[in-house]
Amino acid sequence: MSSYQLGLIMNSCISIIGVTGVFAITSLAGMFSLGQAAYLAIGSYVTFILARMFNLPIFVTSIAGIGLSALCAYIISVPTLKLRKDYFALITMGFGQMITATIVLLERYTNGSIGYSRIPKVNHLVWVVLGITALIVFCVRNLKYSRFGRMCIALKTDEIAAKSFGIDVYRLKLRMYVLASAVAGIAGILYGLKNRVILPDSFGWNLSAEMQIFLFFGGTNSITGAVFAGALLKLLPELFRTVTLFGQSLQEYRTIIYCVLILLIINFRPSGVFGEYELSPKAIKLFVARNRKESNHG
Amino acid sequence: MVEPVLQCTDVCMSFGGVKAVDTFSMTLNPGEIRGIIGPNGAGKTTIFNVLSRIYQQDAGSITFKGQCIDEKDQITVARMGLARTFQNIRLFSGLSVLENVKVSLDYAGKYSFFEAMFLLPRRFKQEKLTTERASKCLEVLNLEQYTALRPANLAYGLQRRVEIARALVCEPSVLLLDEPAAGLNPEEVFELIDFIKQIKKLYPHIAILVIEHRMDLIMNLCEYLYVQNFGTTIAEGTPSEIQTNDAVLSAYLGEEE
Repeated sequence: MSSYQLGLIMNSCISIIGVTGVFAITSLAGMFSLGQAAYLAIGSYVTFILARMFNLPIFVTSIAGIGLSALCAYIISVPTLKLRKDYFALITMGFGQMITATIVLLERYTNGSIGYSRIPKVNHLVWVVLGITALIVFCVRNLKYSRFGRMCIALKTDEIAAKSFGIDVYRLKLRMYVLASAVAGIAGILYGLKNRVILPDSFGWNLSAEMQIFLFFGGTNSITGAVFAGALLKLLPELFRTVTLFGQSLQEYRTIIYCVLILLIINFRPSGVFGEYELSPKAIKLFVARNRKESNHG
Repeated sequence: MVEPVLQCTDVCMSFGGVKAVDTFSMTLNPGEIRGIIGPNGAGKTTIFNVLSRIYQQDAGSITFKGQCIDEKDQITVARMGLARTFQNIRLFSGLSVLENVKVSLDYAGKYSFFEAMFLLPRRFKQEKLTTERASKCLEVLNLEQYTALRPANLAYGLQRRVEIARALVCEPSVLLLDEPAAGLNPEEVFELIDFIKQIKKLYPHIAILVIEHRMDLIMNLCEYLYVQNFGTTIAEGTPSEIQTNDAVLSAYLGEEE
């Protein structure tokens, strides 16, 4: 496979990880975060700066990177999770902007807006990325079908009813937000390893918005949808790379394409392409059995 | 003397200028069924919301299992063993009937976040246990054939029963039923009476407090009644005493000219 194709695979995997993280907050805990890109930034900057400063291997410093992402999420969410959902979304967006601004200001360590480069090369990175993606999707999927997933869906539908069954709404939301941010941190590290350079601009609020859009496109309650949309929508602009419109590659119109897609989804399929549907061996068996029955009748 | 499981003295609650509940006092002993009746707007649901700590009362105090719960929140009280249903059914629409019942056992689930993520053996064992407990409870309420369905696909009467199952499954000390017969047809009301009697037989220690409009249900089930009107208790006593009480008759039927 050419390195271009490998790059595409890694890009879509990283996107899947990011969207899966957003799934944990938005689809499970019912919160809307517009600042997830900040945790990608924290994860990757901390990992690579520490690795160079103390001459440590990346997989050691990545623990610090992921940990700091989670810690920041914890500090941010303790006072803000009691706010109404819309205020929470605003705060996360502000936090995202704050982080990119901080990265530019800490020029001494981060190289500011020029970008932090000379990230060490990892061999067979594509396998690492694929493995981590599979692991994260597996974990979040299991979470959805555990007591935590059930409690999340309950609190998302009706907080007062959830509380009257002993569910500690605040603590559960906090856990989910910290988890999602740690996952975002992992995505950030992989992003850095793949591109070998990280810029504050690559973790702007449009990345956060992009992940939310992917999630809504795929299906608000479906991990299958999150994976599908994360990969497909990330690859879609690549398909249009060679097509030009008004003298520009169609790739430049990415944001417009996403917006049109989201408008179509909201109008015609408000719960996303997959809705609540999940792909599982059992579901496939059921689907095959139903089709066979129908063809027998025919 | 039995120690009352739930007791409140002189509870007051007002919204702005409206006194929804005025000096309400009651006791509930283990294994007893008591009822609160009264016309619309008499403050019955407000009493429930104060008891389950959704509202903080303005005055008066509540004791649950010998502990004062005036400062406790909804979650703590629920975990202490106070379960309730809602007048306007509040089932979780994103979960199946079985999951709706399981979710009420979930806060006490005995496997961690980590075990859930990596599908460790304890997760399967504990999930199996909760499924068994929930299925048993659904069987009591004759709902076993609906376990996989979403509540929205069930008839109204069945949804009410799922709500009762969800409150009952954690075997609470006190069960608050908020108008369990609202919107049911006469046949379903008879079924419901049978179910509540069944519950009382199977779980003899549970104390039940029920709000109702339907006289047939109240008179059939309750051992003791509180009659509310415009926030105040106008009468209390056994069903036969209430049936002949003048104040109650005038509240329900109007005064004779």
